[in-house]
Amino acid sequence: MKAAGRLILFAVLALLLSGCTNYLDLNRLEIVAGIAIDRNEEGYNVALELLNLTETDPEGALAFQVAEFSGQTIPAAMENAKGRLTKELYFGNLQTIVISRQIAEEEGVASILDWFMRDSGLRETSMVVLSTAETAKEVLEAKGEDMAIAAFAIEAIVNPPEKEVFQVRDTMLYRVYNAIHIEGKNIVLMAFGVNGSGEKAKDAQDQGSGEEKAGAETEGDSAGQEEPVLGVSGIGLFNGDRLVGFLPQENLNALLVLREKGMQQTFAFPVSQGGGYATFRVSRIKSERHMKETGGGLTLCFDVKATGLLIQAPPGLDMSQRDAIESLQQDATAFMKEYLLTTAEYICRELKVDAIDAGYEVYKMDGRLWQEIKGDWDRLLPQLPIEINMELHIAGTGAYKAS
Amino acid sequence: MDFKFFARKRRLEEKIKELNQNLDSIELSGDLAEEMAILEGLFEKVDPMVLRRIRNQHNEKLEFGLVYCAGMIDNEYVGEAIIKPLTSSQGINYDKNLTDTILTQIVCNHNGMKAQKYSEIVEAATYGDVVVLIPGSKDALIYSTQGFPLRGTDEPENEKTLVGPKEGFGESLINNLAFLHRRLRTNDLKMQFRTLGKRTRTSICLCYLDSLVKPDILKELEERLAIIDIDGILDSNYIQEFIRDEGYSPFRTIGTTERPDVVTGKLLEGRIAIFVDGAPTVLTLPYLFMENFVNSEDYYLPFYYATFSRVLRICGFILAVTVPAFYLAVSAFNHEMLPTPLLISIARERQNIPFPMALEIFSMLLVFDLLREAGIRMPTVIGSAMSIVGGLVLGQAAVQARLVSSVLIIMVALTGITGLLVPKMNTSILVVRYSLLVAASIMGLPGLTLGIAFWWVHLLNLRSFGVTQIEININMNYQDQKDLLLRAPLWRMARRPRNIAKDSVRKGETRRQW
Repeated sequence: MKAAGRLILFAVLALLLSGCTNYLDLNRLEIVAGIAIDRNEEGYNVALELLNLTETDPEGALAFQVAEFSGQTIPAAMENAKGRLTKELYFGNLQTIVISRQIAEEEGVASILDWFMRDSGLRETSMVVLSTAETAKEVLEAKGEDMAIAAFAIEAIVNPPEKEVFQVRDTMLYRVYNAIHIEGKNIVLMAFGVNGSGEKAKDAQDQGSGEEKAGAETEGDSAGQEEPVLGVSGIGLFNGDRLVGFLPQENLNALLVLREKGMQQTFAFPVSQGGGYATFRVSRIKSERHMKETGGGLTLCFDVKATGLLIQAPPGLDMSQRDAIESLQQDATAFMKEYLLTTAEYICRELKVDAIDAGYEVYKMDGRLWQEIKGDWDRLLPQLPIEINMELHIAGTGAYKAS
Repeated sequence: MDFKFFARKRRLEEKIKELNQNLDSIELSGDLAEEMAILEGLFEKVDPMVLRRIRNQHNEKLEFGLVYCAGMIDNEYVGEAIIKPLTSSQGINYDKNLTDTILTQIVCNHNGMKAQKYSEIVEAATYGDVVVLIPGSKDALIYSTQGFPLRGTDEPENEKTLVGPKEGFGESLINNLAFLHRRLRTNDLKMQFRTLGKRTRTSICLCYLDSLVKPDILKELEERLAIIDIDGILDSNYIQEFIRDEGYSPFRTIGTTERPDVVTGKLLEGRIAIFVDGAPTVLTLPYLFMENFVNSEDYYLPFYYATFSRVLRICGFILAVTVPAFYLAVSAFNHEMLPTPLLISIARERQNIPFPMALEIFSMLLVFDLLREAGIRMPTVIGSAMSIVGGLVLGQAAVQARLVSSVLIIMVALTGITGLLVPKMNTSILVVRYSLLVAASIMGLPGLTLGIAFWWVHLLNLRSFGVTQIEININMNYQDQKDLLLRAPLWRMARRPRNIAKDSVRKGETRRQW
């Protein structure tokens, strides 16, 4: 009797505490795969990429539709969506948030991300990317090369299962949000464009961002295709939460080494003995960043230790000779050091963006000093000396026979 | 006179105690009265054991002692070939060659033999031989007279094994005890008869190994049996429901089996078995939760395979009780738990299904249980046809008619199949599964978590005759774990379950030298 009483009490409490309020059947859900946010004259346009679960496209893939709603604020636009959709919007498996370049430049991304973080129904691991197309909605309406739904294609490119290039660590919503609010840190976001929107990318390049090659590549690759196809168009550099420019394609790998500490990338470098180029793939890399006091000033140091696997040697190089291998190693080390230093100096001195988190290193070293100089950091950054200490071991040379 | 009687009784008790401790070394004395008294002491509480005296019709002073186990011998043969010659032969004289005379002239059995030690007599008597004690002789005669059922019934349907013994208990209590006696040739095996049921007067028998059983558990059992006051006992379950701990719990606190080898194994671990006349199912106690996942075949197969099978059974139980509730919770409440591709697959399947998901799951599980129940009661031939109708036709038709989603059919099938892995827990699975489903349909994942917590706490509190079903011991050691999740090699199992047996040492000190 006592046990039965407890059981009834448990059941009553369970009912009172929950009341089935969260019950939401799957066939009543409107699954949102991606969101694109654009600015209009009165407020915001929010485009939602909705999965059509009852139909497939002619190729058999899952169909989707992009619906656009407007409002003075993003939540207001979402409210307007409710009046037009028969099912309940479901953001729990949201893959991608595309923010237009205009918003990122003019008002920053902090307030938008703040709203996303506050909404408990959203998945905080959604990818945040920029749009270099005319509107962010265009990116969602485009297709990936091998994946129809744009939100899924972007997520797969930004967050590949393997460690490859184009992997910026802080692209998930919660990580981007956190990075914005850490003293001295700046975010970088991957930018996506659509073929046919190269004009906009070129405009960005004209402003000193270096996006031209990336945009042109995307445009060129997909030339002649009828449907718009999305692709990576560069990496957006931020000062605080505001977009200040884009990094050229040739500096992407260096930025990833300097910022992300460990990526499997491939580098080609000139060989001094006999001429030509050799290629190695980084199999292991460790990059440590710290601030060093030198003669009353500060120097930003990068200690990079890497192992590279030789995957292509220039013809005529006798790899059975020890001096040839040592020369190859010296060439590779010198190349990497120069490449990283050039990129770091380009970012700090020409673009004047602290994309390598030098300010964060100052803050870590001396918080009071950072508080004193952070207001003047934009002026101090270009003058900051940068030092690269490179240790590179080229492995796999024994696999080559003497030519 | 009185003083002499008590002195003699005390001497005998001491001798019996000494004999029990060192049975191999004590020999017969030649005093028939003393020998019979000692054997009565040795077989105290072994009620099937018969010790009787017979006299020769032509020489009334000539008295023989007979020792045998009822049910183990061929009654007709013993009567004709042993008792009749001893009682009716003429010219048997009480002399020093009496033993040889009987062995060679009176009772000519094909393998009659002499024995001098009590240990030989005990072993022979408990194995269906007849022992003849001869007055004035330090030799006893042993005649092979086994008449126990070698294969009483077929292998139990619900405890089938690929390897190992195929015998199963039948409905005869004496025959069932013979199965046990044949495996345990020791006087340490105690068998105590009782009668229960005012009208049915059903015989039951408590069996245990005296040197292993814990006295407090035995006492507790006897007390619980004493309070059974019912008009009839038709099956062992009648007794089980009366004496078990936590009468409302869906989990077992008393084990059941129809296999003699299983009962023998349990007795060797210090447990008690209860045989009921007319029932092939034997109760064993105390019962631990992990016994639900143990199969007798585990000990007849290589330990790697046995361990793998045991882990599979545990996983099967967990899946059987949680899969429907978890599916409901993540599909109707906590969708974000699902990876996106899986969510899309399930969501696509759910389109145009007219019923709420909770109702869909409940109804399909009920349909499965209906089919299962119908299949059990039907003849084998019709049962297979039923499976086809239920599994293929009904399932396929329901999916095509968009009444249920195909994902749910997979979930129900998975639940059903995994549930069959642990047949001993069918009741527990049924109750826990539906209760978790109700909790999940009210609160989603928090409900499921609460439900699991409820049952886990219940299990931790569950006892079987004072022994905790699941013991959480921080100071875990190998011997405690050797036969739980894993089945260790038999030569590494040195000890019996700690809380069950009085004597925990199972294996000698000998070590593998090769």
